[in-house]
Parts: sequence; structure tokens; C-alpha cells
Amino acid sequence: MYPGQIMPGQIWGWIIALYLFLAGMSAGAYTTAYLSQRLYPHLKVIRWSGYIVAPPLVIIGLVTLMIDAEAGFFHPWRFFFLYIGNPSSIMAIGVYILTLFTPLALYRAVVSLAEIWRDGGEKKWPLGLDRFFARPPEWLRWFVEGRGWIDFLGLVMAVATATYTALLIGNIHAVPFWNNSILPVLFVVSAFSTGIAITLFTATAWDPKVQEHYAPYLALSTSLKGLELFLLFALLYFSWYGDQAAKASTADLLWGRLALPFWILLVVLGLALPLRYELQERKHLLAGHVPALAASVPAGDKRPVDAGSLSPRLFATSQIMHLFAIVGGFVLRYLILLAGHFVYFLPTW
Amino acid sequence: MARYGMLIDLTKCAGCMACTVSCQLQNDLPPEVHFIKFYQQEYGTFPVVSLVNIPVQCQHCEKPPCVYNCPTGASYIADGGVVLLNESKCIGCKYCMTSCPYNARVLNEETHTPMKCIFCFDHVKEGEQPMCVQTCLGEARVFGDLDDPESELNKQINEKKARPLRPDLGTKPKIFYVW
Ligand code: SF4
Repeated sequence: MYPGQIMPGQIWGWIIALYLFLAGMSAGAYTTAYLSQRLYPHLKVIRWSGYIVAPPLVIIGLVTLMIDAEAGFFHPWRFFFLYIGNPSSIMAIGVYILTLFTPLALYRAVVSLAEIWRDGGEKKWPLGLDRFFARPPEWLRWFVEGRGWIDFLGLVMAVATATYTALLIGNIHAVPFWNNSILPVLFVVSAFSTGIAITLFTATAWDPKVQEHYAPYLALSTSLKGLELFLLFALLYFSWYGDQAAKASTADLLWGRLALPFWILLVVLGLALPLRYELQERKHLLAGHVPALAASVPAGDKRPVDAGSLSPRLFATSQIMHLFAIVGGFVLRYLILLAGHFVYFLPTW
Repeated sequence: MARYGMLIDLTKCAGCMACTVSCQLQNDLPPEVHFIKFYQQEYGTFPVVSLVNIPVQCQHCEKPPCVYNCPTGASYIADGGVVLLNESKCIGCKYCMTSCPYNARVLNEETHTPMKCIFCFDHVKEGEQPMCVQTCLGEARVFGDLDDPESELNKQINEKKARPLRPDLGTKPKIFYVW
């Protein structure tokens, strides 16, 4: 960085980080829910949690993005040019993707509500929703019954959303720390691991008993977190031995101005701690213990425990770990944005 | 149509920043906003060392990442290869600002859209020189048509072996520096 130069992180700050994080997490939650629906159809609460949190997350993300794009916020008709102005720009492609993903996610949330209503004994619901679910107009039947292929289309768009949020940053050649092939993979992996975290968090809050079935989810989530740590290491490693500007970014993160949040908030609290806890929880689950109670079971005691006697204190620990993982996803994006350095362009002798 | 470019001879630049100031007057910029930013670089090994002043503005790249990444088509390549911004299409996403390797764009706090050097497009259309070229006392700046082999610009580029900054980035900048 030269004196007087602005940093990429000053141009794109925490709002963009928040948006990238929310859009990625929404895509991850949808994917988790879809996988649940296919692989474990009996775990309804997990599926519903994922499908229901997905649309609000991406919508909040889009709103923050519009507020950040102030010129557009004050002249909303200009957003129209996003569709016709320059279709080859990654950001425009992202707009197309989100234009498909957001309604698909909303649609699946409505289908989930209908499922919940049916499951809950078809009681009376506000806004006349019960009547709508019971007797939808003929042309809106698909809206209540759900269609497998639409869910699948939603999955494709979810994956596209996660990928695009990663490529948006990865495509910036002016910032070598962002412009490499590891960063997009890291963002996508992080999108799915935060997606799992928010889904499990919501499902646990909804019905703590589903925790008994978390083993396969934790297997996926821990693998993703492990992969994330490895990718982070690879990103820093190649950046250090790469371009001068990327080297400066690495130094900033490892021992420079961002070292404290990097080590404490991201590596320890955001990744390592939840990873360790999830590994432990998974082990207990596989051993037949109820997760939240597991820690209170004396070592060596392998008797299955009654799910009804969950200890609230330990229940809270697993929820806090999910929250840590979620916040870690935001911190990851924010730190990577802040750590960006523009290429050095001055002549050298 | 011409293909406008510029040469900046760093060996002649005194670092007086008159170009920056005349550019600010020309474009009605507040004092803290510069289209021409001055950087300094040391070179040599002790005791034979020197310090150069390096003015950097929009390089009017032939393959401008700012234009390629702009999602609304607000940034575009105008006649003469000059890179301009159509404010009425700009949503202020600042993708061009992060995409520009030369840090050429600054944000207009009033309109919330980016701005940058426009090669004094209106003057150039009338056959005049850009303001920074007119102002430069040391005659360090030469403006002209890169497609015209007879132009003063091309002559000096060849004679002085002028090079663009970081051509390896592939943006094909049209400002050539002598150093
Ligand atoms: S120097 Fe920057 S703003 Fe100018 S054309 Fe090149 S990329 Fe665009």
C-alpha cells in the first residue's frame, strides 16, 4: 500500500461482507434442508428450519446491499439496468441468479408452512392461511403441495448463489489476495458450513429432541470446517509466496493489524472451537448418548440416556457453538475484505 | 477515430502537482479529491539514491476491468478509447473501484457515484489538450493519438522507450511512463 492510496476494504466494507455472508448462509441453509428432505425425510423439523430461514436471510442481504449501493437506493429505477446493462458482468449474473433463487426459496418456505400446518393437525392459522392450505385454488395447488423438480431447481440456484458470491470477489484482479482459485472454494465451503449451523441452531431451538439425529449433519459440518481450516491455510500459504500485495495481506492477517480478530474470532472461536465441540458431540451421539446430556455422563458410561432429560445448560453450549460458527462465517468474509491490498503498480528500478 | 493516449516523463516531472490542481479546477473537485494522485518511489542503492514523483490517474485501459465488471453498463468505452461513466445508469455498487488496479476512481460523496479522470473529453473533442497537459510546466506530459504514427506522442514513446505501468495485468493501459 502506498501512502494516500485507499484500501479495497475501505471501498467494500462490512456491509458487503454481511451481504456475502447472508447470501451464502441462505444458500447453505437451503442446501441443508434439501439434503435432509432427500436423505432423512422423517427429520421434518430440520428440513423446515432450513427452508424457512433461507428466504429471510437472502432478502435481508439484498436489502443491505441496496442500501449500500446509495446511488441506486436514491434512484431505484437504475436497478433496472442490472438486467440489461452488461450481462457478462459477474454482478449482473448474480442478479439473475438471485432473481431466481429468492422466489424459489420463498416458494419452498410456503410449502414448508403447509407441511407444518398439516403435520400440526390442520389447526386454525392466522391470515386465513389454514383455508388456503386446505383448499388452494386449482391453479395454485403446486404452491401448497410442493413439486420435487421445483425444489431441485431451488437447489441448483442455491449452489449458484453460493458460487457467485465467491466469484464476485475472486474476479477482482486488482486485489491478488482475492483473485486466486482458493478463495472461491473457501467461500463456498464456508457458505455451506454456516448454512448447516443456522439450520441446526433453528431446529434445536424449535425442538431440542431432534439433536438425537444430528450425527450425519455433524459429520458433514465437521468435514466442512476441517476443509475450511485447510483452505484458509492454503490461501495464506500461496499468498505469502505469491504477489507482493498478497504477501502484505497475509502479513496483516497473521501478525499484522488484523491478527487479533483473525486468530481469536476466526480461527479459535469461529472454526476450531465449534469443530472440536461438534466432533465430541458426534462421538457421543454415535455412542448412543443424547448430545446435550453427553458431557454430564461420566466417562466410560455408555448407557443410552433419556432424551426427555436434557440439561438446559449443556443445551445452551451446543447452541452457542452454532452461533460461534455462524459469526465466524461473517468474520471470515469481513477479514478477507479488510485484508485485501491493491496490486503495486509503481515503476521499480 | 483516434485512440487517445498520454506520455508522462517522470524524469521531467518536478512533483509540483500543478496538474492535480488544474484538474481539480477543471472538474470542480473539492480540495481533498484528486483525479491525479501523486506517489513517491525511492530507487538506487545507498549512496546513489533518488526519489521520483509519480502522478497516476485513470490509465484509460483498452481492456478496462472497471468496464467489464460494471453490472449496469454505466462505465463504458467512449469514442477515442476514453473510459467514461454514465451517471444516470450508475447504482453506486463500487465494483469498478475495487476492480481498478490503478486506484484511479474516487467516490463522489454527493451523487454516491464514482468519478475519475476523463481525459478532459469535452476539450479533446474540440481539438484541445487535456487540462493537465496544458498546465504542466516541465512539459512532462504529452497527449495525442496512439494510432497516428506521426504524432508527437508516438515519437516520444519510441524515442524514450516509454512503458505503461504493470502491463502484465493485461488491462492495456494507454498512459506511458518514462522512467
Ligand atoms: S485505470 Fe482504472 S478506471 Fe481507468 S480504465 Fe483502467 S481500470 Fe478503469
